[in-house]
Amino acid sequence: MSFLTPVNAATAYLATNMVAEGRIVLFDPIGTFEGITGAVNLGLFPEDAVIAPNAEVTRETIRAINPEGGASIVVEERVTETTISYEIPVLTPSEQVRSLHNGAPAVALTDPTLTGVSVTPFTPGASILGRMVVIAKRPGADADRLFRVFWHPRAALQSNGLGESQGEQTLLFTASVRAHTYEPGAAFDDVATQITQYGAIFTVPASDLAALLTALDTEAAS
Amino acid sequence: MTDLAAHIRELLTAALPPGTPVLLPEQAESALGGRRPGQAGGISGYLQAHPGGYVQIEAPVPITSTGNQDTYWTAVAALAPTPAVADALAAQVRAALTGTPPADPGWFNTAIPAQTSPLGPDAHLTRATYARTLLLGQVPR
Repeated sequence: MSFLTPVNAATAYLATNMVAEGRIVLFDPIGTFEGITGAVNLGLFPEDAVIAPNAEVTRETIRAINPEGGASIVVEERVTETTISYEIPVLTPSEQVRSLHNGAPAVALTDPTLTGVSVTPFTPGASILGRMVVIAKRPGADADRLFRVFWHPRAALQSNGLGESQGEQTLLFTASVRAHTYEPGAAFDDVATQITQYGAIFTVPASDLAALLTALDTEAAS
Repeated sequence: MTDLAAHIRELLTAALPPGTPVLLPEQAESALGGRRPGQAGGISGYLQAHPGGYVQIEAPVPITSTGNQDTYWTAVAALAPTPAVADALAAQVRAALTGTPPADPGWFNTAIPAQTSPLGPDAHLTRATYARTLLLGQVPR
């Protein structure tokens, strides 16, 4: 294989490659949260929404005198700052998603005259720490077609106000990915170095998606 | 673009209840054809024979091209004896073609949502238009 015969020579121009990936966002708050045990599916997004990790990286160049003369050369570009975030507009917020949008974990009231009432502190700028999984599905019937799964052991979900799509209200979230070091479970033991503090991107055959999500269930759970 | 209509037929025959006829554009006449003695004719007769309704794929219409991306719109009609059955069949057609975008997308996008119109007392039609962008006119399978 070379430049003359690339590995994907047969598949590079295939029409099947031109297909949109779907987006399913799952969020599992770490702390206790009234009304939420386990993960929450954030729901459907407007058709034109772009749900993708947006990484802002600040680099600092380190220069040295050019031994051959002339302008100084760049020896390294050191990454000094990384911010990874998702902008998520939710078109179909369920009750759980609406309580996530309140911005902080909810607590149930115990007063018998106030059953069913829960309370969230009003703290602008607060965020909910949790584990986040984004599933990118592709259409088709082939059990071997590949999905992508973005895994973030910690992400902070923040309310970002309200938006609008086709006249319908959307709840806006900003999820900023936080660094978190943890010991990967047995299933990921041999690839532990592939999983960074910010998580990993898995490529998974459609038939194995359920197994991967089950394996991720116990990862960085506390 | 007979291949695109055939592709839609493949998706629909796999997803719809077994025995639901999915007619290609050139088969439109078969539902409207003549009757045997003692039978109701035309579309009413065909729907009497298929109370669960049937699906008619219309000829794909070219809309735009950017040079390598060609967009086609294809109307798919669900016909049934009652509006409720026609709507339910059209909903199954939509799920098979478009999936649940953007969570679990299908191959097609909805270009024009479904419209239900009566063709007669015992024939109702629910028709929606689906868009598909093809690369170099190829229908991927």
